[in-house]
Amino acid sequence: MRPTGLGIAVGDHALLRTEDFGQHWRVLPQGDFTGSVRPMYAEFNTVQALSDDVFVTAGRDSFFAGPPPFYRSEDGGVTWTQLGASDFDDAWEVYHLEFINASEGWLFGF
Amino acid sequence: MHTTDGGATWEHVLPLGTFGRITDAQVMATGKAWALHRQPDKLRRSENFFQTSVVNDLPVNHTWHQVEFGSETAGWIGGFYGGLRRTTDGGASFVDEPLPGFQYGGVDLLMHVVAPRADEAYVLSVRTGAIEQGIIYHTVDGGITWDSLPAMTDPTHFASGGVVQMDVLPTGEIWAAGSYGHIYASAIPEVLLPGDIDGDGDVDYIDRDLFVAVLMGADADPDHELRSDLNGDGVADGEDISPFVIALLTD
Repeated sequence: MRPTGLGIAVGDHALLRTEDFGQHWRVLPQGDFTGSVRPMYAEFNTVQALSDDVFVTAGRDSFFAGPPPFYRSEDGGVTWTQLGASDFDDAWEVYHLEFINASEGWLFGF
Repeated sequence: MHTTDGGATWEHVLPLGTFGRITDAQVMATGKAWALHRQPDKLRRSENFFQTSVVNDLPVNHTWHQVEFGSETAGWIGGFYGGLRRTTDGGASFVDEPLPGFQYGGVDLLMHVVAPRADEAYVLSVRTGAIEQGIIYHTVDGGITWDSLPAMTDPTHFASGGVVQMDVLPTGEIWAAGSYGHIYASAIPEVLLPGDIDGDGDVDYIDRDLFVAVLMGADADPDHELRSDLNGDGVADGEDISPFVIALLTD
């Protein structure tokens, strides 16, 4: 949750977004995601706000057991793009992510 | 895995299969970093972004799942069954910090630890039973004394299954998420004007002076420190100067 009231919640098969400190939440449509692992096939374990505009999230491909989905949003969580899939091993699950700025970060898991 | 281009490309930092799974980790901009391994339970700590690291054994039977540092030296590890340990030497050694009122033996489960500062921590636990209840413990003296937050002990807020994670805003408001998709707030926070350090509704020379005093270490008022953290990274420092100047010039 950002001090502005913008927040992202992640879980199994869905991401939710609020703009008013959680008074109202909207499940983000699958069409707002660009990538091979749509949220309906993924379980998201971790999310981090890098600014009011940039969010990142990751988890596991729970349907095809492929590389873990890592998604990044540059517009405050409205649209998301999957990145880095070719660098990840199949069936790897991300439990936690840590970014220290907009560019540099780490994924941790099993 | 490590990226320096925002996530477009990644490279391995630790080989797959190095000890057990990593359930939690923390990396600071200075290079200090920690990772918690499970099965076997170990704490990895590094001074250089995991380029090199030292691994310590942890006591077994605590189901450790979280590492959380409020400064470069002071931090915590938490386990599902109530194991809670604090370090003041960057993770080289730990001491047990039992929570008063916590029912051990699987009745209460420790779900999440957030440490906004070196001596301050919030611990989210769930009391299992017919109606599960979320309880948040809070310390401001490094675990010497603990309070439970009254607003969060009302079972009507939490009677929905395990409450698994929380977020503490710079304003002090707490958000907690439940395993069945429920989200709880300790209160709807007042929207503060960025840069309004004294909270009087504007950004002016008084806020400028308070902001400078916080950055110089001359003002330790917790509210002023929180409001001086304009970029929301958990600390009031030089990185907040640019957003403060923008706030001052635009108000």
